[in-house]
Amino acid sequence: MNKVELLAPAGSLEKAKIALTYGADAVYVGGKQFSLRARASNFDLKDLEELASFAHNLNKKVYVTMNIIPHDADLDGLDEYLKALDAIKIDAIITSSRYIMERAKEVAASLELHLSTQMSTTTSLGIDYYHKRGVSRVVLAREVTLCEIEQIMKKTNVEIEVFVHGGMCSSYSGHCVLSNHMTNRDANRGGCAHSCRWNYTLYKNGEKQPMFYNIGSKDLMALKFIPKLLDLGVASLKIEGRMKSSYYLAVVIRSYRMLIDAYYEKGYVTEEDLKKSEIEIGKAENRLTSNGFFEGLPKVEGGLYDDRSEHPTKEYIGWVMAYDESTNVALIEQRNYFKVGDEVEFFGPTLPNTKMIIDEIIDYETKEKREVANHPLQLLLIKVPFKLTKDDMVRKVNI
Amino acid sequence: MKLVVELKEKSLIDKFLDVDGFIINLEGLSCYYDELCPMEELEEVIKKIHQNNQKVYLNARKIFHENELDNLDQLLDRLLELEIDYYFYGDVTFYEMACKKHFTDKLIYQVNTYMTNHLDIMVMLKENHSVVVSTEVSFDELKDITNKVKEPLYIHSFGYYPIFHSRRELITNYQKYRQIEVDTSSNYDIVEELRESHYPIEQNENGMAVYLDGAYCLAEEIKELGLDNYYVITSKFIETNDFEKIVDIYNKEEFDKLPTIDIIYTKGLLYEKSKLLKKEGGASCE
Repeated sequence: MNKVELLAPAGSLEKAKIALTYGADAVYVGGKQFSLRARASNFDLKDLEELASFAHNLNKKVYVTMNIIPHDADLDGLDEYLKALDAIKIDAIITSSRYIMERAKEVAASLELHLSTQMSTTTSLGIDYYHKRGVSRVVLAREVTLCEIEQIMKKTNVEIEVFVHGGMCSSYSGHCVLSNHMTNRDANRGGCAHSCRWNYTLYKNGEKQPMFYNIGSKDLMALKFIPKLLDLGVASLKIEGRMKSSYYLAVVIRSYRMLIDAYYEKGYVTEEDLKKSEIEIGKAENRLTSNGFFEGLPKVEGGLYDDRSEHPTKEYIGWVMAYDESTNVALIEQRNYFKVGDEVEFFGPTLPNTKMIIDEIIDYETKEKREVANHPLQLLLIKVPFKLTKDDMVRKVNI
Repeated sequence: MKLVVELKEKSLIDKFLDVDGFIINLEGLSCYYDELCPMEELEEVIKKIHQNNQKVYLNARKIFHENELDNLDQLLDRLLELEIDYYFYGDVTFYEMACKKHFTDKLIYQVNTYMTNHLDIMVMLKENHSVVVSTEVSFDELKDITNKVKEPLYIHSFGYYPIFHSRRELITNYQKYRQIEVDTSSNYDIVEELRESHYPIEQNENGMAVYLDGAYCLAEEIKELGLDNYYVITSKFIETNDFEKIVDIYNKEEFDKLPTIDIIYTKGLLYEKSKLLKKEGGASCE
């Protein structure tokens, strides 16, 4: 039985390494060219090469997004870029352009072609069409229901990738240009202004209605559908969010990892397993979530209305840079305010959630004691009575 | 000028004798349509159009889902018995069906948001009769595309077009959330809170769509694009009287008369410059 791939986004080299360390089997990242997410700290070729080497050493994969809907001027330098990706052993590109696919087959034959969700593929016939044109994997449209995925899986042998977590376009992806027309920011070339999340006034037969009209979607969280997706033989479970923080990625990836591993280990997951993953994700998620289309067309509860909330999460307080087993002292890089007396929780790729009270903070540079850690990225020494590993993280328990 | 005009009413067939062809909308196949042609009238409508030596184009621009494939298969079997000249489609599901039934030579690929460069267009031309150029390109890009492709293309030249298409029932859901009467048949438009433009919206069996804030109008520009291309005119949100006048103006290339018809016109993105920078956060793809 082929195990499912957990595929995570990353907006920087640091985030990509965190994603792979925390349980992703593969990461997808944007290069400097041809990628949506114009401000997602896109990778240059040197970063991509380092990431590919890092991932391949762990027997994991790197996919590069080339998912813009290109205009003529955007295609300059395409062949050189494809050849460069091939040379540094990127595993696949995720694309939506038939021309990019054609050129990749011609000049970078070892790059796999994954079809972007921008093409809104919704049927087995649509999958066949792209497979015949060299695509080895199709990212399904998020408008496909679980029932439809089941029907599709019975009719195709092509690798299917399904979004399970993160932001949702309210429209069919690739079919929304609200942002282009309202702000001149091209949604299909990385400039989406998220116009679907704005407030609109509704006019009915020319008459202004009293309350705001909204068309935005809650984010997707598909934890409870994971067992079914694994049973169906989906190849890859995808998390959205190249703009998200390292902490968010670590928490979300680890939660899905735990659930997937539990299913493979036991052959089932319990309500408790699901609850555990949901609680974990709740420690990093700052937006409202729903089941998306998995249970059918989203009803009222799938939309964003007056109740949108995008609160910043402040639980994350530090990143473990090193741990000295002989002294039980951890070197921590500060990420949010904390102080002596705070109850905190360490966690990591292999470290279960483990709580303790902070009884001493020492400045790594000056070796002076501190009552509070209030400088971002400050290096601090903290006594921790259990073993930590580099890249573990620490968060507050109560804020 | 070769005009392809949406068939707003059957009675217009004999009024628009100078156009190259008519776009017919059909339930179960069409998307972004004005009026549907009842299936039982289709044969007669096709016959009438052909009697005038004009072409029949079918709007098959729906995005299909897996459980609709059997119906599509059966519908196409019925349609293949009729003499439809061309099909506008946007979902490659339809292409695969056409492959099975051997009529890909009748296909015209149209996704308003996708065909934005001449190289992708040329790839699609290899396997289709033709392609409709995206409405998301500037006029300079449009000229460049038509010059480089060197084959007649279809170009949307007049009418409202969709700028957002969701599978969600976004009017129904909103009304339920607000606990007001569910009514999807009224005319709706939306205005963003910091802007003034009115964007018509509509919900039907295909989901919900937001349309452009006026009738897109490629007029004088056509002379620079060449008369080998086919120019598409759609009728949605346009009164029949006005629509007749507009088709007449395009036929006679008397574009200076357009302002005499009282509708909202827009040049869309023809003369706009895209900015690629984005704000933080939000939805949603790879």
